[in-house]
Amino acid sequence: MSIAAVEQSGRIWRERGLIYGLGAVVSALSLLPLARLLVESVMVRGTPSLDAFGRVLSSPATWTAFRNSMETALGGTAIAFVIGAIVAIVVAMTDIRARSTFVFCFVLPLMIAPQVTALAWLQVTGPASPLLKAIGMAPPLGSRNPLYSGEGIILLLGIQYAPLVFLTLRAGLRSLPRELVEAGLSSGASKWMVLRTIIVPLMTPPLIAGLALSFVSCIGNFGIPAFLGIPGRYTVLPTLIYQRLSGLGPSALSEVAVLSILIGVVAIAGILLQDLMLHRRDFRTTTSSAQFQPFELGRWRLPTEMLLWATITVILLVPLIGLVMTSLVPAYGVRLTTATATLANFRFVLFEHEAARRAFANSFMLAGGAAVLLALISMPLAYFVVWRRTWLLRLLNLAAELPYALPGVVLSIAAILLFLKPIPMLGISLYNTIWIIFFAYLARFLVLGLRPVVSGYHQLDRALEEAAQVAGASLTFRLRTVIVPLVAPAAVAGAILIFLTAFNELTVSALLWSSRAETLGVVVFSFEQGGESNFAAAMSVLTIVVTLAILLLLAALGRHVPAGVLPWRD
Amino acid sequence: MARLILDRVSKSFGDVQVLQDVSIDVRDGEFLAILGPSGCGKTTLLRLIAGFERVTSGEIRIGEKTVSAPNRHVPPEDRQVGIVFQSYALWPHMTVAQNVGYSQRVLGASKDETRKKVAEALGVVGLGGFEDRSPSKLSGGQRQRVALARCLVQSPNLVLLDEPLANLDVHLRASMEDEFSDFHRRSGSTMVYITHDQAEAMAMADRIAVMDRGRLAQLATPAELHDRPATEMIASFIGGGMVLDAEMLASEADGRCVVRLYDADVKARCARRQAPGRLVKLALYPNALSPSADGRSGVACHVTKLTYLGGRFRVEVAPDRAPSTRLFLHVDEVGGIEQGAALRVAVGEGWVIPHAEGLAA
Ligand SMILES: Nc1ncnc2c1ncn2[C@@H]1O[C@H](COP(=O)(O)OP(=O)(O)O)[C@@H](O)[C@H]1O
Ligand SMILES: [Mg+2]
Repeated sequence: MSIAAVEQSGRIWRERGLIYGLGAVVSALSLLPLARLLVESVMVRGTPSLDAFGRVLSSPATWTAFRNSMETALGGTAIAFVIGAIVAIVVAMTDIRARSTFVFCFVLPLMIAPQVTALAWLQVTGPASPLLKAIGMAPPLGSRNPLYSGEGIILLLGIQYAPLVFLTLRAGLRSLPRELVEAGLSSGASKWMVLRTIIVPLMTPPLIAGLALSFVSCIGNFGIPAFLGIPGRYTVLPTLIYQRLSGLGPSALSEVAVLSILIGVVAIAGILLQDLMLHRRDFRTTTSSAQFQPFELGRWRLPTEMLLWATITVILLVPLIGLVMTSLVPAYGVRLTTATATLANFRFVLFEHEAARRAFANSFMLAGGAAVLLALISMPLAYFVVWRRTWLLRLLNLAAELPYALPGVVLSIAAILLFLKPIPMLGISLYNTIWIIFFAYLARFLVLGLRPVVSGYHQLDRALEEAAQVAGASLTFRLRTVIVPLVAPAAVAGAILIFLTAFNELTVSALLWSSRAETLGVVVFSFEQGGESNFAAAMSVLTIVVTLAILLLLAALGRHVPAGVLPWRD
Repeated sequence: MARLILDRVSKSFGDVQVLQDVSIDVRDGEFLAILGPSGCGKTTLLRLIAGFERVTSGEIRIGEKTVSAPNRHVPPEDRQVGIVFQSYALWPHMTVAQNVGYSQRVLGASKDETRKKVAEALGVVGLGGFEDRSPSKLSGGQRQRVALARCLVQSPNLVLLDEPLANLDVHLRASMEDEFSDFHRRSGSTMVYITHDQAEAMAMADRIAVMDRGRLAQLATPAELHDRPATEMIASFIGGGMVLDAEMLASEADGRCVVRLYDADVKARCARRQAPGRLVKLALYPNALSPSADGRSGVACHVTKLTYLGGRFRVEVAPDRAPSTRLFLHVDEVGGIEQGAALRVAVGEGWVIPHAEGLAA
């Protein structure tokens, strides 16, 4: 062989190596844990058996939790639908002012962890509520917080996920060709009639997709039922799994494996419905994509705007104020005045309490490490998926969706099963270390990093790479000098989304944490369970401050981020 | 600089055959245009030559080396082929100098040498001093020149251009056409230039390969293509030619012949002797038609439309013997010609298409 031929075949092998390497990483993160979970549910001590299935499915506790899960998920979705759909139609179709500020505020609850939402609302409604005390309306100490109930869970789930319905529906409305609306108006229909006969029927697929997405999120939510349901003795599937596992330890594993498959099946039904509906959204019958003129509200504009901002006040501002007030109160039930307000809670969680201090460091490192590593994996991975259309990685790209789409507890149980025993051959044990959480974060949030990079590649002209190729650059050289610099902004945006989500996360770490490997979510949870709401509130306020700071950073990154990555951006 | 040979190249995407048995021999240093309507497979052909796609069958050779065959594929980075992309494909995160000097960076050349080559190439395209600009700050024509300079620094065997003028406005096109011709003369590279605009191809190319639905329809010099189109498609695609049904009356060995066109006998040229009485297709350009001087000879027609074209008129007529057919001619003055009026049209020399389709032999 000539020197050129040797060089050429060396390059081909380097490329194959990269493809198989990426394939192995993605399989290990997305397929392996779920496969292990499926195996566990049909095996008892190494022999095939359906005992675990039988035991779990015949237990009344399972069906109570199942019914409660369905009830809260459907109820929460209904509330999310009413709020999200109305707001989406008003925001996307009328001439209200300060639209982008409003959208940012309305979408913000999505960026705040569910357990923080739950904690904040508890501070507003409970007998110790500094807010109610300040206006002299607090119920007597010792009385029960009305949110400790199924209705409370439904209300908060609805508020948490209304932005999901809002975002899918708004995306649908924005891709609706304006001619369809204008044709209706010019044939004499009133705005109201156009809305009823044209817009709503066309928007049915995205609407159902949004509902399905919200349902899946509600079913998998752990933070809200953990904070409201456990004290209220109202159990849903994720909290049942948590209680079984923390009560009985690894001996309950086959049982919780079956429970998590049960919840996984319900979630998958929702995911499939969402997928089906999103693919129906296709208006390629007309060519122009210009957006329609917003309808003028005229004298109704001011009242509409006031109503919208009142909504923000109720669902965002009041709970946050409640949370901040609690974080400033010196002790449970004390009335907050300028004289009693103190920063002692913050000092305690930042400097004095060992586990809390550690949790800040742990969560920063876990979230930061996952963000950086996943951004680095995403850039070459998405390159092969989008531009090279490598079939192996295209399939794995779909598999990468699973750990994020499925409820977090499902992934946690799968990770425990995978790492309970030391890894074969290496002999390393990850169970009861921080590394099992890190693995779970990598698996769960891979898709968050991947999606922006994939859309980044779609928005780039591939000729940019081909120009480097004809100049003689090998794949690794092209990646380094042309491809990575071009998709880096998208990868950074993805990394920031990962950091935000992982930093505030509770669902995964609640089942995987161990002593010295606590996360922020876990410590907030245990403060609240131990009745120390003031400390929990102080920690939550700090995480919200970090979240807001990062969101502002993203806003500054602004135009470098590919379209469609930041949900609130137009 | 190198010869490029395409030998019975075919390409399918799944079941769809996009190119079929295309054979072209591009001489060293030649400027070849590939011309054809949109969707006929031009870009696919270029991507095969560059190595972005694999051939289904056939062979591509650059210089002495086989670069594409069904069981052999030299990747694009090893072909030393330069491309000027329709979208220019300038890297937005690099300056003009970094864009132009990229191939030197790939080779690991020294800074001084790179700087020298970049300055030289930018000088050739008339952009000296633009080194530190960002491509986003340049006009369309300037970007095109940067793309050319980038190609130049690479000293490629072969330069491929995919509709490089499609994104420019009309008056810039003319000056860029000169630019490409200059570039070709100065660099002496073999160039393959893709376009769907026949005027562009005629103005620049040594030879033109006309593509039709994935096949090579004709490979010839611009003059030959104009005077002796091989197929109906070429005759109508080039210069707004008309293709009319006629009957062969007599032909001679030297290619002169007489055909019957509706109610007139007209002189024409043909490729080979043909049997009298055979139905043929006659290619005619508008400038071969004129109002008959004596008003009695020529094809009897009626005027169907008259259009002012600035300085002259375009006359559309229908032959009385074939009322649904339309002929076009240009006149300087109307003088009595008006819509609905009878007009006899004198027919100059036409060309009998050798491979007429849809005719019994
Ligand atoms: N990657 C591909 N997969 C399938 N069909 C393709 C692909 N690339 C091109 N084609 C088809 O090949 C035909 C020729 O395309 P192209 O070479 O781009 O034509 P041109 O450049 O002459 O307009 C078109 O019908 C196009 O749809
Ligand atoms: Mg093309």
